[in-house]
Amino acid sequence: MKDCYGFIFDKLPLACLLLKPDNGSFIIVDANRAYYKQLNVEAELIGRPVSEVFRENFEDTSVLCESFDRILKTGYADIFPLSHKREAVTPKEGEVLFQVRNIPIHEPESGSIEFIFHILLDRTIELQEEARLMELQQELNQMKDASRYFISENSDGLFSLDMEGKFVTVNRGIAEMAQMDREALLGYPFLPFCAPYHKKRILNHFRGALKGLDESFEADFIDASNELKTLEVTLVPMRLDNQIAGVYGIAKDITDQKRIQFLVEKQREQLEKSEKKFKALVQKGNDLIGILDQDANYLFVSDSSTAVLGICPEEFIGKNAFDFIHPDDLTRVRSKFGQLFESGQVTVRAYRFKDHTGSWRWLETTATNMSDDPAVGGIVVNSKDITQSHVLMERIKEHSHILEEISWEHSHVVRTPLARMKAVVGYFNENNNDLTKDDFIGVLEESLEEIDQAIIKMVEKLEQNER
Amino acid sequence: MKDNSRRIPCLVVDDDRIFLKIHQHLATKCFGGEVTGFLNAREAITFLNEPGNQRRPFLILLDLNMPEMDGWEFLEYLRISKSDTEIRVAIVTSSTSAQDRLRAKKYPFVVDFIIKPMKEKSLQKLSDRLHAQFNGRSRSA
Repeated sequence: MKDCYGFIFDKLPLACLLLKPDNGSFIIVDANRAYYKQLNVEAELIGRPVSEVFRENFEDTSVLCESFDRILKTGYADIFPLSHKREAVTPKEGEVLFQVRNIPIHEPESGSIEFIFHILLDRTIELQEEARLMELQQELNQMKDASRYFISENSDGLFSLDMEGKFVTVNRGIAEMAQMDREALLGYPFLPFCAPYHKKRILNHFRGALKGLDESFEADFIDASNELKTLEVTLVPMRLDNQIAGVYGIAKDITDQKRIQFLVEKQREQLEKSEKKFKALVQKGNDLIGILDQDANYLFVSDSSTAVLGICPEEFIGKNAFDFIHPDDLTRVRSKFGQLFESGQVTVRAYRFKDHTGSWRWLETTATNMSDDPAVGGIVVNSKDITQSHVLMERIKEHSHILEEISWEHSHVVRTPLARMKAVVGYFNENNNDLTKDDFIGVLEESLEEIDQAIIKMVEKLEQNER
Repeated sequence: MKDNSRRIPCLVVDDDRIFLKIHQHLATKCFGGEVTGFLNAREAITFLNEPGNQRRPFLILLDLNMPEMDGWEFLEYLRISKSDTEIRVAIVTSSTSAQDRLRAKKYPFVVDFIIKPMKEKSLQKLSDRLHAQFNGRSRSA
C-alpha cells in the first residue's frame, strides 16, 4: 500500500515534495519526477533541507518560509487563494508562476505535524489572465469615471426624455443651453423650448424616435432667457426590456456656427457678385486689360484681346508690349512708361498697336503701377480701341482744314475783288478826275474775273476732297 | 486844309494798285501829311530803315494778303525790330475772319482793323484817335 502511494506520488503531474519537520526546519523526504522536471533540477533533493533547495531554485523564498511558519503555528493547511498573485513564487529559470499549497499530515496519536505535503501548482496562465482581468477591470472603472464625467460635464447637451417628452436625465451642457438649473430641468417638458415655427417639426422627430427611429435634425429653440438658439439634435429610442421607454438625446449648439455660415454665405455671394462684375468688366468688356511686369512683359491679358485685336490672351503671355507698338509711336510710349514708376499712373494718348493681321489699331491706354499690391503684382494697363474715333477725328480735322482754307479764300480772294469794286465805285462817286471810264471798266472786269476764278478753284477743291 | 498839328506821316502797303491808289487818296484826306505807297512789304521795310526815317512815327495802313511778304510777316518784323519806335499800324484787309482780328490784337502797335473797302469815315475816326494820343503825349512831354 505504501508502495502504491509512493508510485502515485511519483506519477503525480504536479510538482510535489514530502517534507519532514526537523528542529524548526524541514527536510525533503521525497520529491516526485514532476518537481525535478518543472524546476529543472538534476541534483538529488532527498535528505536536503528544503530551505536550501528553495534558495537554489527561487528568487524570493520568503513566501515559502512564511507559509511553513503559519502551518507550524496553526496546524492547518496553508493554501493561498488563486487570486493572490503576490503569494506566487517564480523559479529562477523560466517564466512560470507557481502557487504553493502546503498540506500538513498529522501523526494520528500525538496530533503533531509529521509531514508537510508541499505542492507547486503551475498557475501561470490563470494568474496572467487574472492579472489581465484586473487590469481590464481597472480600465473599465476608469472609463466609467471618464464617461460619467464626459456625460455630466459635456458642453454638448446630453439628455433623456420620457414618453411624454419630459427630461429624465440632463447634463450640464443641456442645462446651460436651456439656461436653467439641472434640477429644475428634470421633469420639465422640452416642448416650451421649441421655437413656435419649428414646434411641429420637432414634435414629429420626437414621435419618430418613440417609434424606434433614429432622428437627426436642426431646429431653433428658445432658452429660459428668451434667447434664440439653433441646435443640432439627435434622438435615439431608449429601450428597456425590449420596449421603448423614452428617448436619449444629444443636442449641439450651432447658433454661432450657423451665424458664421450665414456670414460666410453672404460673403461668398458678394464675392461671386464682384467676381461676375470683374469678369464682365475685365473679361467680357470692350476694354483691353492687361498686367505687365516692370519690363513691360505681359503677365495677364483679358479675354477681350481676341475681340479687340484678334489675338487670344495666351499669345501675349511672356511677350513684350513694346514689340506690338508702331515704331513712330515707340519713343513716346516708352517715355510715358518710364514716368509710370514716379507718378504711379500715366495715360498714353492715341498710339498704334499691331493686331493679328499686322495692321495698326489706334489705342489709348491708362497704365497704373500696382507692383506693390500683392494681389496684382504688376502694372495694370487699360486700353481702349479708339481706331474708329481716331480715323473719324482725322477726317474731321482734314475737313476742318479745308473749310478753313475755303473760309480764307472766301475772305481774302473772293472779297478782295468785291471790296475793290466797291472802293472804286466809292472813289468814282467822289468825282475824282484821275479815274477814267476805261480805268473804271478795267477794274470791274479784272475784279469779276478774279471772283470767277476764285469760285472755280473753290469748287475744284471741294470736289477733290469729296473724291 | 488840314491843321499841321494833325499831320501824321502815313505809309500805305498793298499789293493791289487800285487799293493802293484809293487808300493813299483817303490817307492824304484824313491825315493831311506825307503819304507814301508800297506795292510790297519789303519796300516799306527798306523805307523805314532809311537813315531819316528810323526814329520817325508813322501810321502804316497794312494789307494782310500779299505775295512775297504778307502782312503778318511784316508785323513780326516790326515787333522784333521796331518795338522802340512810334510806329502804329492799321490793318486794312478784305478778310472778315474773326481769327485774323484776334491774331492782330496780339500786336500792341496795331491800332485798328479795317475791312475793305475802307471808308473815309473809318479813317477819319482813326485819325482823330491818333491825334488825341500823339498830342496828349507831346503836351505831357
